[in-house]
Amino acid sequence: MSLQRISLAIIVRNEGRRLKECLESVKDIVDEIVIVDTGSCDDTVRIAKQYTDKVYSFPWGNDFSAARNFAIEQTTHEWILSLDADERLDAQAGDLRCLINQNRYSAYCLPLYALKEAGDYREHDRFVVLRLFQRKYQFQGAIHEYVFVSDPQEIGIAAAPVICHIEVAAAERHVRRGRNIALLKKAVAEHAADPCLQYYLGVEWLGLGRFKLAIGAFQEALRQFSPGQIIFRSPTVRHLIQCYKNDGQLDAALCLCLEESQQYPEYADLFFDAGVLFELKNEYSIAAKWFQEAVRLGTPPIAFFHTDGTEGYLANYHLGYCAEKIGLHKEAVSYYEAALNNERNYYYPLYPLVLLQLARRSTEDVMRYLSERGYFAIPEVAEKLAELFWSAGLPDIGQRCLASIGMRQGAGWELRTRCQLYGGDITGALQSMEQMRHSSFELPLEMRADEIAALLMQGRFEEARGQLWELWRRPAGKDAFRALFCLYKRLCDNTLLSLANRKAAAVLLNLEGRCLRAQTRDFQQQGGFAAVIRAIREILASEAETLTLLIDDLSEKEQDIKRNLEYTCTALRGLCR
Amino acid sequence: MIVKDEEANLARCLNSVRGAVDEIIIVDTGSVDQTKLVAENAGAKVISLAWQDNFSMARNASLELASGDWILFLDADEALEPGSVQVLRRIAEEEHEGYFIKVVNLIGESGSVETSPDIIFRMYRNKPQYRFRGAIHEQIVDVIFEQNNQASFQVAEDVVIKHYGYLNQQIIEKDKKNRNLAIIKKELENDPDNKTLRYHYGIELYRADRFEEAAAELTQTANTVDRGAIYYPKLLRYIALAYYGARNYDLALEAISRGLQFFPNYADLYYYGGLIQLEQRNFAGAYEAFQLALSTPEQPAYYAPFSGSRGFRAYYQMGHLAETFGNEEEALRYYILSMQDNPEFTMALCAIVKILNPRQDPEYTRQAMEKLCDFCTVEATRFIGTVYFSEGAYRLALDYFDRIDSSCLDSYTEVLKAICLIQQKRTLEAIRILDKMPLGHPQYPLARLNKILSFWLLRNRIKVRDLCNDFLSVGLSAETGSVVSMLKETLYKRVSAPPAALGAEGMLLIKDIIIRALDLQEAELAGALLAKLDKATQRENALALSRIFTEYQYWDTALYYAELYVGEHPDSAEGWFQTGDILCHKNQNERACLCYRRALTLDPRQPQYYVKLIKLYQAMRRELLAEAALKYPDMPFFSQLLEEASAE
Repeated sequence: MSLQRISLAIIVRNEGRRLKECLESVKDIVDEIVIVDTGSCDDTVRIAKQYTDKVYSFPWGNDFSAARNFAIEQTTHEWILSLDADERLDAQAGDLRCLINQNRYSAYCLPLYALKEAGDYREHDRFVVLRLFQRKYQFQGAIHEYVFVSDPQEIGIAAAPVICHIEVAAAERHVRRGRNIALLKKAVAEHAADPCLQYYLGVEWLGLGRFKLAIGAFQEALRQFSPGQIIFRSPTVRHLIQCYKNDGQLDAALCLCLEESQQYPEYADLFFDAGVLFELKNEYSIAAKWFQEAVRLGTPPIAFFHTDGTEGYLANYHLGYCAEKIGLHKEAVSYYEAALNNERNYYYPLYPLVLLQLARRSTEDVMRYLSERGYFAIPEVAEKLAELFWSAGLPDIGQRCLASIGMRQGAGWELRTRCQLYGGDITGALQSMEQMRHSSFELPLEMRADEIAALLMQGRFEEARGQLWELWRRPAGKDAFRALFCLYKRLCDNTLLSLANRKAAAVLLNLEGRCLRAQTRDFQQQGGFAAVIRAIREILASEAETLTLLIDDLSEKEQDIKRNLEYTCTALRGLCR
Repeated sequence: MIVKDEEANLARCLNSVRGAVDEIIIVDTGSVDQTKLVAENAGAKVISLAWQDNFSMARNASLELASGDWILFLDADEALEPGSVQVLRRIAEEEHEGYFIKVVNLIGESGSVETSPDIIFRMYRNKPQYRFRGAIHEQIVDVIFEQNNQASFQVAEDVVIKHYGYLNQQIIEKDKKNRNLAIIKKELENDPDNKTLRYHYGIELYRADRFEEAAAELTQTANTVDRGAIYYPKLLRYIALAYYGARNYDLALEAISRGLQFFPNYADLYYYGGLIQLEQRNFAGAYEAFQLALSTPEQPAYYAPFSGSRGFRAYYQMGHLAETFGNEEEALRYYILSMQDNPEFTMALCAIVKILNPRQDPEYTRQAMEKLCDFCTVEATRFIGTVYFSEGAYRLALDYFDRIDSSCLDSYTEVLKAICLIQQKRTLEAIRILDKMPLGHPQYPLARLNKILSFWLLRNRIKVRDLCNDFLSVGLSAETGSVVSMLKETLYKRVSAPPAALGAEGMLLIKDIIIRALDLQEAELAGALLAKLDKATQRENALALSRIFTEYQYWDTALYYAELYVGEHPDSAEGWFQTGDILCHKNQNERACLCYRRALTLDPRQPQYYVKLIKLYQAMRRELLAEAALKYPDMPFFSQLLEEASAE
């Protein structure tokens, strides 16, 4: 058997940056690279030439197939691999050869992961696309062109290698969609019978958020596809479900789910979708059953359009949510844990999990749990957790979350300083703010209020006054100044000034709320925070208008505690379901 | 019957069956006491048989001699209830093959307090093919059933056997458990597939506190045994209890859920489910479980229900839950229901008294309690007196002690009465009582200490010194000795001894003395006594001391100790909570708020922390509104809100 070789055929326009990545991923796998440029005005051609001397130019005529077929014509080998510049191939050197050497098919569909974010494998949809084929085939269709293979028996579906598609920026996507729709409409007029065109039209409308239009297109496509055309039909079904859902037609969506789940009983995604729909209808125990089924089914066969996680971390995350809603606290915990075990990089279940755990475990236990699993080592997660603990009224714990990650600029630094202050390290927090100033970090108004309050607590009235004047000089700082000046007068001179300003009152109420979160181990120090709170309440109580605000604020806080009590004590069921 | 050394019990048993049976056959397995004589005097036929670790063998020997149409078998520590005799005669005329009879196990100290019935096969037709099997927990039911699968059995509802065996001391009990375990184990080796035997083995393991083994054994049995078995519900209950005993709460709850699938009306399962969820601090679950326990119908006898699971015990737990969530009215309602269901269940009574706060509100408490209960017996009067006493309501306690003729008072209660007199400054009367207990009397130390206290509270330096020296010369434990020395020294200005370090025993006395001093508004004396303690002891006991001063509303001293405590234990939720309470009373609402919040975050599973904080917010809002309503009479908005807030 002769050694079969592979040519990469690729068409580009203004893809400089992305093209490099694409070519890097395949340069050692293919035997030849052919690049056809359809009119770039950036450095695309220059980059292309670093990888191959077979760079051609082809005038753009609103026809993708023509361009692609031109590229194929320039190749010299038996097999063609067709990629776009915004894709890369995730392959071992032997993967493609393995397929070719099977000598069973003359064309192969490969899985394509449409990543929702660049970088890692987090959150993607899985399609299969015909991208590896013998040179005898050609592309068809001006848009959403496809390789035409008359005999379906000739097409194999491979589970590897995987093509990764990185989502383009929203603005660019939008421009492309407009262009695509125009082309598609024209194509539909010419080939009304092609359901694929309807499907693509639906995809574009969905992308633009025009659900009603998308529904029409998908319905038409669905009517024409036969159940065996899984590669196209399965995404059509799921997109249609999504459109119904987004359009508020939950029942239509559910009907479709139920029907299709009978058609494809192995298709976990459908069960997941149904779960989401029932969840939206507040039918949590029914939803849970569907999610459980999705988990039980596992990843659907390769031909099915598949959203990663619907059979794993996403389903378990939703199961946790449903369990919580029904009041099955313990089950919720284990679902959230399962979700985190399914996909360590999907952090969202951590949030409700920590809240649930805090309600029944000591903070120390929760911290141990988190650090054993290494979450504090990931700066992004550590920051989110710190924020969570801060808003749960545990600034001292928030501070500990951030302890292990290095000093960072921006929001992280601010959060750390805030946690430090209200966790009881007043002196340390004031130093941090000083450092922030030195590294010309613009202290937000809220933090300036914190700073002045902290200085007042420490009896450093002179410095407090200095900061007040600085605040006064800031154009946006007038209300904050007014508010904090009243506080200063109250604490320093025991004079009660009137506030006469709702915005200033809001500044004080915010500060009061933060002071209430103070967790200090030192009784005397706690007195400092209490003094600020007291002064604020006295100031607010001195006038009818602000007094109303204060009273509202008090009853809001009361409701908060009631909710917490309910969450801790009454949302936990067990024995009698 | 088979007996050995049962002279103490046998007469009671044999007397109880007079008129119910026509002959009595007793197999004696080697008594060395007067058992045989007692038996023969009651008209029994007695045969002797050497004990061979096998109950069935002995029972079958007695059957050989039996000539009646029916066999009733009892143990010597059991007795038939009087009303049962006629019923037995009547049911002997019916068509059944055998009867289950309710056996009430008397437990607790006097036997009158708690009973937990069991339902056991005890009477059947005398046929030669019906013979016992099994070395221990000898079985006859399955034998009869094997011989005659048409046999019909009935529960003899109105027949009751009282079982006195559990009243024995715990040591004997333990011996018996170990003996039983050993015998069953031996038997199981010969007959490993005997399910009934395995069931009894599991229960014996449970009784011997070997919970994990019991749970495993019983679970295994439950998986193989026929679900129609008469002991199946009990088996499921014991699985749950065994896991509960092993503190494996999740599995215990699982066992309960499973049990409820088969027996959805089984009150015991709900009740224990509630207790387990309380352990897990799952209050909502517990509440639901107790409610369900209360809503179950009358329990069938073969459930062998524990008493109170669907009555006074469940009510008590509901009351306790209501109290945990700060709803005293609701709590009272449940405690009263509990007491009405079982007037002898004194825990409910104590809980009621506590809520009524007899120390601060003695007259109201007296009236309320008199309406609720009838303290007509000496015992009841004494009891309520001691309850008031332990709540620190000395005058009220004294009222009740006074109603009892002093010749009927035990010496301990007499000391309590003397203490009440001291707290009324009726010192001479108190001393008259205390002097009745000379050296050698069991209450002497308590009496003597209180005599010292009576003079100490009057600051009678000389008397105290003499009495203390006298008392010390008797030879006291180190701790008591220290306390007595401290008492002596507090009345002198100059400091002669170094501060004392006290352990738990000494501190118990100190706390008592502090309470007594504060009750008489002698805060200075209390302070002088505490000043004699070394710093470490003070810090260690700061929380308890803070609570005492809080109780008697000495806020500053209470705060001093609370602060001392949180300084030492900054992560103690209890400490911050206590501090919050005190600050609340001192009107330092902002600080109280912060303290409660800190307590909450340190231990989020204490409902009372939330409840207190909510109440504090409500109070602050009301206060602000009241001020505003006064200050801005032309703004009806405030007075409206105030009205709403007051209605909360």
